[in-house]
Amino acid sequence: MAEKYNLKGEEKVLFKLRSLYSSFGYKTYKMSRFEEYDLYARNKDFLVSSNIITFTDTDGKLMALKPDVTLSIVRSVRDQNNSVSRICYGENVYRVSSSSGTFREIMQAGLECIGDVGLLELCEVASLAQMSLTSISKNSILTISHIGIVESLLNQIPDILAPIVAKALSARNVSALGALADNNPYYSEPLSKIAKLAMISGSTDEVLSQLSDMYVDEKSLSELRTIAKTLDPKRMRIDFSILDGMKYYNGIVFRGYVQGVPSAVISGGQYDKLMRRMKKRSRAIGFAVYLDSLERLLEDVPDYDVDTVLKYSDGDDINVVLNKAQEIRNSGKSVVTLKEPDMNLRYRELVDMGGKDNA
Amino acid sequence: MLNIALPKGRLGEKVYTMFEASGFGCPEVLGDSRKLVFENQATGVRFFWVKPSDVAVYVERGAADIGVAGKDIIDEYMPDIYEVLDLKTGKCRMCVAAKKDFRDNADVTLRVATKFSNIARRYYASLGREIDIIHLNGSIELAPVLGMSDVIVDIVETGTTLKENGLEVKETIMPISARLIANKASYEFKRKDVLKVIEGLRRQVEADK
Repeated sequence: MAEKYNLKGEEKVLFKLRSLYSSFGYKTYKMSRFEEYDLYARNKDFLVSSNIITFTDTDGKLMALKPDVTLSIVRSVRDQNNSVSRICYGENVYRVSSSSGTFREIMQAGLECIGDVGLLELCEVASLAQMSLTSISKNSILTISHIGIVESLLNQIPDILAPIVAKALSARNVSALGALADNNPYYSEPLSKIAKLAMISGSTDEVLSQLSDMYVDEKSLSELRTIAKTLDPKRMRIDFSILDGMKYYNGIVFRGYVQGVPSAVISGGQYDKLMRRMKKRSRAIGFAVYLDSLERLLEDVPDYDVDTVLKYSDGDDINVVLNKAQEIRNSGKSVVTLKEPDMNLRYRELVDMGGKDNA
Repeated sequence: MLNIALPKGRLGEKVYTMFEASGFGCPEVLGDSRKLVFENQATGVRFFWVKPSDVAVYVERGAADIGVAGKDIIDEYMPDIYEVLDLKTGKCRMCVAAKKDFRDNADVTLRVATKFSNIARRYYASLGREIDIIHLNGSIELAPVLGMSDVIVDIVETGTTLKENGLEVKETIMPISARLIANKASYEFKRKDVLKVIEGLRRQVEADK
């Protein structure tokens, strides 16, 4: 159906994602483009970049063009017992591009599941992330980690080392982790476990059994195990290098990759810590799909700009030309009327009002 | 096919021999040709030579699946990549150097000339020192000699250039060596090949110990 409307690649994906999310009972949430700047100033670490476009509203309040959707949704959702709000969105956000250093408008889709979130909801959102990837590309991988496992190990080493260790783990820098373990013999046990996490690879079952042997945080491991079992094993991997946003995420976190795009196109996880920071009791999980990064992947250049060029000259009767164009259009072709076709215009056929038809 | 970006120059040639010794060679890579891309269908690798400071860009953007970049480049540009192996070659240090008779006056803003603005900024921020960065693209040693800067932040290998210009190392910021880096998506989609190369090179590094 999406093909019929001549949609761009990202729009087609947005279309598919929306119908996927709504089949799980997610309601679309239309937001204002602006938000009070204060919301972002208080949660700067949550944002990908701290640069925000701001302006003063008519009443003197400092406003911002949305750099992020999650914070607005979290703020607007009320705490509720025994119930879950399922919200999805497709919105433009405004961020600084790391390559050009200038602001860009970025199309983002995603969903948030907020409220009495239990294991079932966690599994559901993780598999929705996997399904989102599948709807973008046949060749995709969801990488998944559990912050609880990493954090329980980081808590065993001094605060001064923790950021260095976290940075090395997120870069899969096994050499640096090994050196850290050698230089800090007192903490060699948690440090060598973290080095193992950086190297861990294999099928989900293999990784899970390796983790059991390592005596990592049992509660987190069992949660990760349950969630991993509900995912398609061929399209997932356990990956402990996902560490950004540790101040906000607490449970599972994940990234999604599709072949042909060099960076993650999906990013998300369970963010109860953010909820507490925003004085909410509920638990929450969600993810975002970066549609802008798919621009190149989904680019399908049509062979022709237009089906038919209807060539007319100044002497032709306007009504005859317009009617002829409409007649061709009615047969399902696209038509452009021109006195002389542009050299760069690619068309299937040329119809000359002078009466001659050329192929 | 695994795309590998190598830094042009001595370091790249040395690292290439490590690839070759681990069974990922490609004939004519080290030849005198002006070609930029070399492919070996049999081993499934494609090498290309790029400017050393560009390797991280090629890898981050996925044009190369893996590459070899100095730790200095990685820390300066902070690309979103995996840093999977320390190749323990191309070793040098990132240093603060100044004229031999330089005495730091903590009362004034320190003028720092460097090619590595981000590394210098982070280093002095960690010390809480206010600095004025003078970004240069080469011949950094000239800046303190002419009195344009108080110190320089630069890579020091042997220290000969410093000595010949009347400068000396005052502080070591960090040790530098060549690293094998990997694109995050390639690490997932070409994992088998990437891990094979990492393992092969790891054996080379251990053998060189």
